Amino acid sequence: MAPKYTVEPGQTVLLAARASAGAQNLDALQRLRDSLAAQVGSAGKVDFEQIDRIEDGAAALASAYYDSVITNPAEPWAVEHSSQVLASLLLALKPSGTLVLNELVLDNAGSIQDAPITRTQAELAQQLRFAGFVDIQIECCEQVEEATLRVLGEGCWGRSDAAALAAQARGHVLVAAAAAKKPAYNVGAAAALPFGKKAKAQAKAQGARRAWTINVESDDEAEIEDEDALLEAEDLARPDAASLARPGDAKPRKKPCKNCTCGLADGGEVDEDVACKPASKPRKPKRPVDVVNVKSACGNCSLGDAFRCSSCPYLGMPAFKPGEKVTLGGSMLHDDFMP
Amino acid sequence: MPGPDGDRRLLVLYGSQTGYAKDTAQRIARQGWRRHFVVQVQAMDQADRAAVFAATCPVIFVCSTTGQGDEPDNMRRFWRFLLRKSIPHDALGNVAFAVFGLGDSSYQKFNFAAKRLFRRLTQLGAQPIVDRGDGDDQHYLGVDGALDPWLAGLWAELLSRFPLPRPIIPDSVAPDPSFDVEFAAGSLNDSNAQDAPDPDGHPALLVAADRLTAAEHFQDVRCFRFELEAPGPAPLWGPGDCAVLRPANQAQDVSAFLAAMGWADNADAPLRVAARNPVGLPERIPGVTTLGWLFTYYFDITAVPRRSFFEMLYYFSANDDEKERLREFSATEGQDELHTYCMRPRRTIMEVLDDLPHSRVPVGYIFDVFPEIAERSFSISSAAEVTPSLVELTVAIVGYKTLMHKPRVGLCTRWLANMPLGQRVHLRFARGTMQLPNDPATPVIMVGPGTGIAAFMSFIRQRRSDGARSNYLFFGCRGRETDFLHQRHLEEWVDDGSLSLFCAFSRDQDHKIYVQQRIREHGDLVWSLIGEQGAAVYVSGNANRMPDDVRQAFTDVVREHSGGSDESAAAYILAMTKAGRYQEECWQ
Repeated sequence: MAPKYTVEPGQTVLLAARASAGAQNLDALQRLRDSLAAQVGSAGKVDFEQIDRIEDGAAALASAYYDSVITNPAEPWAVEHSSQVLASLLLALKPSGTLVLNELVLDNAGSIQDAPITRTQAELAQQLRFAGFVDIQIECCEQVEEATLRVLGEGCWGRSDAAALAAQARGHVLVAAAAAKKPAYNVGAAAALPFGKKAKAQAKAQGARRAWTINVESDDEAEIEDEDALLEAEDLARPDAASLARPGDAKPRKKPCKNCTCGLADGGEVDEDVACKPASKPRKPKRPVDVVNVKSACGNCSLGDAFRCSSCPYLGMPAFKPGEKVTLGGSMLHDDFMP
Repeated sequence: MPGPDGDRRLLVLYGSQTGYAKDTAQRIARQGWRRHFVVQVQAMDQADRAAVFAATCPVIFVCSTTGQGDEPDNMRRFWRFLLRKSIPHDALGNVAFAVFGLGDSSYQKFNFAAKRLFRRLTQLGAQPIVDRGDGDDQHYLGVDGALDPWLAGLWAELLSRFPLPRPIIPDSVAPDPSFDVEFAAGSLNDSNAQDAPDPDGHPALLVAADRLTAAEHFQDVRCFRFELEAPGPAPLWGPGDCAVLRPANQAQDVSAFLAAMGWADNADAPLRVAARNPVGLPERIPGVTTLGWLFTYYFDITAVPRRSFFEMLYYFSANDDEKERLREFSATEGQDELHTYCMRPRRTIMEVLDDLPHSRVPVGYIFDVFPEIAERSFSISSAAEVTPSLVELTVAIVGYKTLMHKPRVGLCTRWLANMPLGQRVHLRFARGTMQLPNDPATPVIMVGPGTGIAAFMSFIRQRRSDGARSNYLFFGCRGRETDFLHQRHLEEWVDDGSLSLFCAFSRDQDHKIYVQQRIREHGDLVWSLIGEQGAAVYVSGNANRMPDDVRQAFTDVVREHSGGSDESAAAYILAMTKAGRYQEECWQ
């Protein structure tokens, strides 16, 4: 097989196929594997995996590991890629990694009866999209020869009527050559200012660190780390009482809870050894009957809560002019809705 | 576009549940501005993830931890993303960062969200600028006890990397406004649309608003029904999902507010708003608008102001006494007093401004002082596959007393309660966290006291439609005759055999009975369901102690029926949780 598959030195490549004697593709796949290995060189890696092992999970492919996945490259292109396989291949690819995929497709739907080839080119593209690939391009230029179809029928599909099947299918089956990519996020035109050149010394050496791109769009079920495992022993500690107290206090003054109902928040005396027990209702301050003769200790009663002292009987009421009757419905307060 | 300070950029990302961490993030941003940095502030979930990963400027994370030790809602998605196994461990190798956590050491999971974030960021290769700061409400100075020294250390380090080009702008100088806001000439045609257009929203009309609780009961719980105007062919929501609404202010509040601010005459004058920095205008703000529109649909004038409000108001105060009070409320030592004055009684912005009549915000600074009206989510009680155009919500109208003479009300629930039938709203849909099992044969146990029942109504409706009849509901409320929500529907479903219902009416007898007791009473059945039939358990409702008490009840049932110990029973429930068979959705 002519090496029409090009890879770069240093890349990690996954070659996947249904290699079998029946498919008569062992030699071609071996030659392809050698060609890929030579191209990636000693810094790169070429792994081979049987499609069936990927399908049933036995292959245990590393996530986000491969720069390129080449699947089903050799005659007779015996694989119809299931959604399970496509999902596994997507996971194994690095973000922005490339997929090169071949598959037999029908020229239009239903033109062969009773054969494992069921998809048209459009349906194959749709399957790739559903699996999460982007930048999908498919070309179908090659019609599959009858001889190849017979090999498929006998060697791969186990059909006793392989010859008849091949004759019927001839002319209707094409080789779809698909290229696609695992999504990456394009940082785009946002002007990234250079990190303070003075601070370059603190930044890690760039070296061979590849620019990493990520699929930021999809928020659905990606595998995540266990967040509880992140914490270390020292994170579980809480500060001791002495460190929280005002210097000079033995221990911190007990603070009322944010929704205190025991009276501590309203300045009441509470026995600190007694736990905060919910009272039936918060104490309501007494309402003065007469505001005409305001007896103010501080002189601020009419000014509004911002200036009133904490024992002021007018707390909770708006500002008023001394001598004026206080009514609700002052400048901004309306009784439009009583719960 | 880089200006003369082109290299001096900071990104501040926050995760905030009640607004405290967001306010802190904005304060840090203003301090950065004083040191001649260009600072961008965003919620973590809104950040451009690729930009964060490729960040060439320092990134400062500010995050609080909820009462149950979890991340705040607006960093959940970002956090899940950060946890992905597929992220290489040097992905953040070029990112300099710092983390400050807002927490409370009276909780066992003290600052866990910030601690986890810090660990994961370093795991991914990011470089800490300073140690993590652990703010603690229990400190005598509150969170500031840790924040003040942490900020001092942070600025010292940042200024050594980015030396000051000019002296620091002192605190006495008001910060620049974020936007240019100016009155324009002429008038607007049709300026005040009835409702704010929302490209994401689905238009719906309010068709019913029925009270579910008895008239004499202190709590008003309503069933709001919205009819979608264009439901489309596919279901717009699934069981357990939420409707997201953005409320508006009441018209009379807006008039009173504008009058008090001296803006009544200009309420409808066209106002031009333009961005001053590259971030641009928030999507919701039209470039030309009016004060009337903004204070009806955009600004939350019934919100309880945060520390920043008092810090900013200081610059616009024309009275020495008020100025001094504002300065006290802005200082570290004044935070306890600010809490007593403002947060504890839930004093609103309008009420604060009433107390400080000589302190008024100029129009140019409204975007820096007033908070934005936030969306609210409500679990949907109807099932889209059964009634595709009907969105039904079970809502408790918020009203309560503090020391303020005037009772407190909720902005959104008041907006709903006052809404006339036939009014159009725009709904968005958001996925809930609870998911029904795929297999309709799996039994489902739901524990939903009070308004926790809302999501379970959609669960049960969906299950019945799927032919799934193994449905068990533990419901609790105060009284059979007072707040037995959706009683008629539930009893119908019991009668036709599609629901087994266990109720706890806490005040109907001398001693209190809650749902957790019912779970224990029916231990045999519960064990058979979860231990032998693979049932999934769902708990929904008001947080506080209920979820823990319910979990303890299930643990006790497991322990008694499996013959194991407390530890093995707790481990059993934990395993169920990790397998998605024990799910909770509770709110403060």
